[in-house]
Amino acid sequence: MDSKILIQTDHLYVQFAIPNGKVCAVNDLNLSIKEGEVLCLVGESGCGKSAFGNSILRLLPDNATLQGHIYYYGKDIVRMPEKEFRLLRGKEIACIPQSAATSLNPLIECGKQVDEVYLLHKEKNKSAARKNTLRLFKMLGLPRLPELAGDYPHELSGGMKQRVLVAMGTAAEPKFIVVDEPTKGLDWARKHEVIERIGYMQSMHNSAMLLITHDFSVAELLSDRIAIMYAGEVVEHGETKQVLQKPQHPYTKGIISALPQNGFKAIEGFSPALTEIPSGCRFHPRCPNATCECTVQHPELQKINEPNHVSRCLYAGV
Amino acid sequence: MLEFKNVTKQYHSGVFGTYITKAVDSVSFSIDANERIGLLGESGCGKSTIARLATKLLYPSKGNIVFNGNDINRMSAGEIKEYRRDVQIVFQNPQQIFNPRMKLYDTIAEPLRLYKLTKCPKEEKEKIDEYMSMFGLTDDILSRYPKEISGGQAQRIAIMRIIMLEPKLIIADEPTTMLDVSVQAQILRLLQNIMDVNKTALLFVSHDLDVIRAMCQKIIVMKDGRILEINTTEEVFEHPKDEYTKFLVGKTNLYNVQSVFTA
Amino acid sequence: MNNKLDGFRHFCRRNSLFVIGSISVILILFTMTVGPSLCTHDPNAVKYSEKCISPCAEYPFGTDFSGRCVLCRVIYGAHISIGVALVVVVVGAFIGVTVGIVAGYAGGAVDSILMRLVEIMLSFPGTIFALAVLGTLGNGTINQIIALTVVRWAHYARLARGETLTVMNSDYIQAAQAIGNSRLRIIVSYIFPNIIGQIIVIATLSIGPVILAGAALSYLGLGAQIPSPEWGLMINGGKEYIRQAPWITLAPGMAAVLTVFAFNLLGEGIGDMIDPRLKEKAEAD
Repeated sequence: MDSKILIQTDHLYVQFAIPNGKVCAVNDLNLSIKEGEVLCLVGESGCGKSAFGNSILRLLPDNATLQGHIYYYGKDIVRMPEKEFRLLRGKEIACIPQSAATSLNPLIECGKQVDEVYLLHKEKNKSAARKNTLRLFKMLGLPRLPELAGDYPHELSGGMKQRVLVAMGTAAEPKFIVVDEPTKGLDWARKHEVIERIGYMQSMHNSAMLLITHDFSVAELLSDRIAIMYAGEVVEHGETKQVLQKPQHPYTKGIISALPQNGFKAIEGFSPALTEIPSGCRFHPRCPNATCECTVQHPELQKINEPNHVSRCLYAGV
Repeated sequence: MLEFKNVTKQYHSGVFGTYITKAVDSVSFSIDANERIGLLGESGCGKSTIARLATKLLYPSKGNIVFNGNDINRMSAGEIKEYRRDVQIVFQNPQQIFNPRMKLYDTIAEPLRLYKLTKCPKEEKEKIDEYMSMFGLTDDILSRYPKEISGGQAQRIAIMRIIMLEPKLIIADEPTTMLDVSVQAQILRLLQNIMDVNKTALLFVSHDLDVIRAMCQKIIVMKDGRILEINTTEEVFEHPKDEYTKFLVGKTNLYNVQSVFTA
Repeated sequence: MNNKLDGFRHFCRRNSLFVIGSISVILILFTMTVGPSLCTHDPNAVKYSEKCISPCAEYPFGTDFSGRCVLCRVIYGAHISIGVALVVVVVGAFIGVTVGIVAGYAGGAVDSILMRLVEIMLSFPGTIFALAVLGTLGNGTINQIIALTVVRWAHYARLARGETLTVMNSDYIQAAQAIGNSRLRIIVSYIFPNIIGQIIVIATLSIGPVILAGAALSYLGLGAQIPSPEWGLMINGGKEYIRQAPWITLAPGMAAVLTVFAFNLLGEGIGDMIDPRLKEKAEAD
């Protein structure tokens, strides 16, 4: 893999102002994504994974502050003027948002919503845009074409809406797509369909992707690398196969054995709220192997024998 | 114990009610005491309607639902109250099932007060504390409002509230779809323990094959309001009879996070 | 201690509308209750020798055509004008909420009948309907209250029904049913607490219009009767002197405007404060 680095974050911190103080949703994040690579960010709700996705898209709410850098081809998008960034967003950096049910404009036909992406970035006239839209819909396996393009969002099922969103996100053939929980709320069969289509679109345009999810099956099917997040930090990071087959961090081990097919052995306790982060290793209150040292010393990401596999545990690789 | 006899639930739509949609179409099955049954199907197949019919939140258009020999829709007020206590439901969205204007202590105490299970406030508090520690919840939650707790905590409280009534049948309507993997595991463990200890029957409604496979002895497969197949879990997974079941079971093997921890 | 102060400051900054609104309303209510005992003049004492005096130290708002102190009359009048409005809104909201909840909860035929009734009430222009009611009942403050209540309750009923239907669709109502709550309990401890916020907002916002409607009726001579210092009546009395002594009409008019403004501020403030959507938005981030 000699491709160029597309997105790189450098000591990224995202903080939110709350009534009595600040919470740190993303803590010292150093990740990079190469061209055409899929990085999957796995974590529980409230661990800061969506905050990271939104910070790349610069869609953070007003009460958030960002420290550190996010480089897109070496240019820092954190400090880029809004005008300049707007040229990137949508065309080179796109997103497929989380809730299919509410992310489409209910008053506009779904075909038209995809047309608009083409009109904004590529095509000049409407009929050419519609042609492209229909081609894209066909690739995504949407039924009843071309009539479906004239339907309003409420006339589509959840899985179909999600696929229309995938179409909107990929229409401009962006170099980088942030996909936030693409399968949330979808049932088994539909989930599978959406994953297949996202994977297909990704390989078609060879776009890089940041996939945010809490579902390991999605991660396994689509991603090259996985980063596991817990309470605002990356706790393990490595190639998908290595992380899933030889997990190193106790949290990763925990969630993998919590899957139903592995006999759902639960991890004790609850994830800490970002307002009450434990001292030392953030996972120590729930860790089965925690020692005294874990309660005081905050571990750094440690290398493990395999290349590019790191884990934030004092006893990693031991 | 609970039996559905040719139950149909239909909705009328259109100006004169001329369009009829059958959410559930002549469904028959039964649940015995201490049996764990999974109801499997994709969204819109009518499985949630069945859960609501069984808890009297909806009334069937045709057919009877019989509980221990009594038709649940022809019960007297006293029998209804008894039935509501015996058959309890766990909902999908744990964070939306509590009264947002009620403190969690009152929410938890509600079943005790409704069925007059405790005699004085002191006894009530003791009982709640006992259950709280049993469910691994801390006291500080009691003075909070529902929106101030996490989904996993909310679902625990929801289940705890139900267990206080010692029901004979628990209907779980996709209880973990909204939760994270590790929380899902906690909730499923909890349900399993309760089933083992209290000898309660379970109707587990879900679209997740893996979860149903782990939780249930028997599976009912539904599609478009009809039952396609009722069989033991092993049979459904090893020798699926229906084409649709075969399709669903086929999909599970496609992605399978195989890990070294299976043992 | 410092913490408490900080918390208070934060509260004020976040709910500035509510704070300003409630301070003005408290000021008005304070003037209304304490004011009369501070008045040096009898509001109804006629003194033709001192008629139409322009505002001065003795009479801050001047005197009217019968030599009565306008300031004193405005303060005394507040009792009637604001009092009428408060009674109308409270009674109207009580009736309306009861009808609305019953209609929304029962549904079916009950709902249809009650809501048709509400629609009939709403289809009459408010002031004309009140005039008609007063025409049948006769003049007087009590009848004015009845007339305005008859006009107002339907508004609250429609709102309460809509809110009830929204709440009825929530999962927690189903959960409450499933666990065995009786209908009455569901209404009292589930539906009512969850719709009351909206009702309070609308009720507070409607105090202003009701004050104006009451003043309008009195202006037309159908509410309070001469020599009562009701604001509408004062404006009516002063209208012939509007060139020589504009303060006679201006003072009660401004009092009405300020009161309406204060109650509207309070209403908006409460709305901002309790609107769960706004709050959830702030918390989700």
